Amino acid sequence: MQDFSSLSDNDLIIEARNGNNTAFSNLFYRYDKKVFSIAAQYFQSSDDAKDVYQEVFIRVYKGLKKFEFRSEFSTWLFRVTTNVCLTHKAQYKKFQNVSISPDENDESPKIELKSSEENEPDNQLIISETKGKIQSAIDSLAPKQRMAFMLKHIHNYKIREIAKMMKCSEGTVKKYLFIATDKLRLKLKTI
Amino acid sequence: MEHKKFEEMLILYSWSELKKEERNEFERHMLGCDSCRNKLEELKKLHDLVTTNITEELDENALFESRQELLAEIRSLNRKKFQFSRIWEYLTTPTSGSLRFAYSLTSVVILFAVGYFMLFKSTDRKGQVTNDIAKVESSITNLEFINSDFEKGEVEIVYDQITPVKVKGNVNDAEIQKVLAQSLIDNENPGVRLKTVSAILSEKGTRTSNMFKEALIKAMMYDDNPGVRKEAMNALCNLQFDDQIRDAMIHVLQNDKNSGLRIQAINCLDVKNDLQKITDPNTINVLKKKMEEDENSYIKLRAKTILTKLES
Repeated sequence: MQDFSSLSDNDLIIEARNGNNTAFSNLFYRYDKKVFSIAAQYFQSSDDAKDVYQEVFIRVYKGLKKFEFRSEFSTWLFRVTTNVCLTHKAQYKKFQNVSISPDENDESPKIELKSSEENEPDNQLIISETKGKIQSAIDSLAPKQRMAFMLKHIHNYKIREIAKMMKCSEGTVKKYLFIATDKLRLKLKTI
Repeated sequence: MEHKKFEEMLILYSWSELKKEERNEFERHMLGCDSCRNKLEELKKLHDLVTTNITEELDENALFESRQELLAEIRSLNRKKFQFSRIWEYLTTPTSGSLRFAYSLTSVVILFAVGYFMLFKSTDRKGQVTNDIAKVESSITNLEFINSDFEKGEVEIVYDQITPVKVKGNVNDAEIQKVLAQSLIDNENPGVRLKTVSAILSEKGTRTSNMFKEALIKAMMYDDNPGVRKEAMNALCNLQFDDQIRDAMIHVLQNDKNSGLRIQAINCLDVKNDLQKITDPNTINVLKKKMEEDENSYIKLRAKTILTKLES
């Protein structure tokens, strides 16, 4: 065991390939918060995020021997993450076209949201209603549009980074984002 | 047509995705275009609406559980891999007379070559360490302690690393430390991980090595066995208290579902009585949160006591 913090990702990969699990754990501690966060935001459920987390890192662990150092490790890892998110069957929440009219919007979002105004009961109700509408509008997007939108607006990735993560062209990402933006603009007009 | 081009640029502009020249071009256009200015305003509102209502807050408890589950899964995979290699070895061992003879002859030649190579290359071997384990820290499996005297800091261990390896030495020896530190994180058997903590505790040096400290911190935070986490915490409580240990204790206090371990963590923070070291904003915030929200009333009380001490 050595001071792994000073090692580059590639050095850790080489160590991990030789069976050094401590190197692998150091490697995943570098990025696992982001992986978890992407999954949790996408599914709005910590339970689904936990499933995705396991799936992603086990895939990466098993696939480490085939990693060819042609791209950054993080690019590969986040590509696996988006892929697993897009193919994972959500257990706790189905993503389908959800109406955002108030009477049909019974499913409250599971994401934990904070605001300084949350202590005031009236405001809290309005905030919670607004959040519900926004979440439903986002849920109504097609999976790839939703993923691109979340990566752009919540995680602040650049289009070229999203393209690498989603393994598609920048033009395709733009298309997803334009459609998602248009849909949301229409659905959230009243807020 | 010209205006349509700017409409596409408008969205990219709102995401700061335009190149400098394009940005300048768009800004010049916008000066004379009310429609684009209004749409830009609308897009900014949409972005603000989404980002202020859907924050990127991490569920630390769920992350903590995920890490534990992943480490357990990796251990299980390694165990399966090792069992498979044993079966493979058994299956590929020749049974017929002529084959056995051919294999034996080849093995003797290879062993002779390896022995010859090692004899002339390993001139700087260290004291009591009977095997060159400087490079074997990877893929160590099935570690076991035999004839160890933790009181004296003497350990004798056997483990598998392609072939079985037996090592005898003192716990202060750097090479022994490498194997033990990795065993604490990787070994699939919680009993062995517990013994490893005992072995680490027998280190008689003036200061516990960073290697051990880091392994203990990882075990305390992420081991799936509460007994191992507890022993690792006991060991850390006896070390010289520093920011790294403080942050690890705070992590346990915040995330561990086992209330016994949370109690032990808060006790460690208090008993250390080095209040100067726990005045950072993060620690104070966690203690305040614990004082108000922890499900265990003892932890609430303890957090309150520490905060009162810090205020006075």
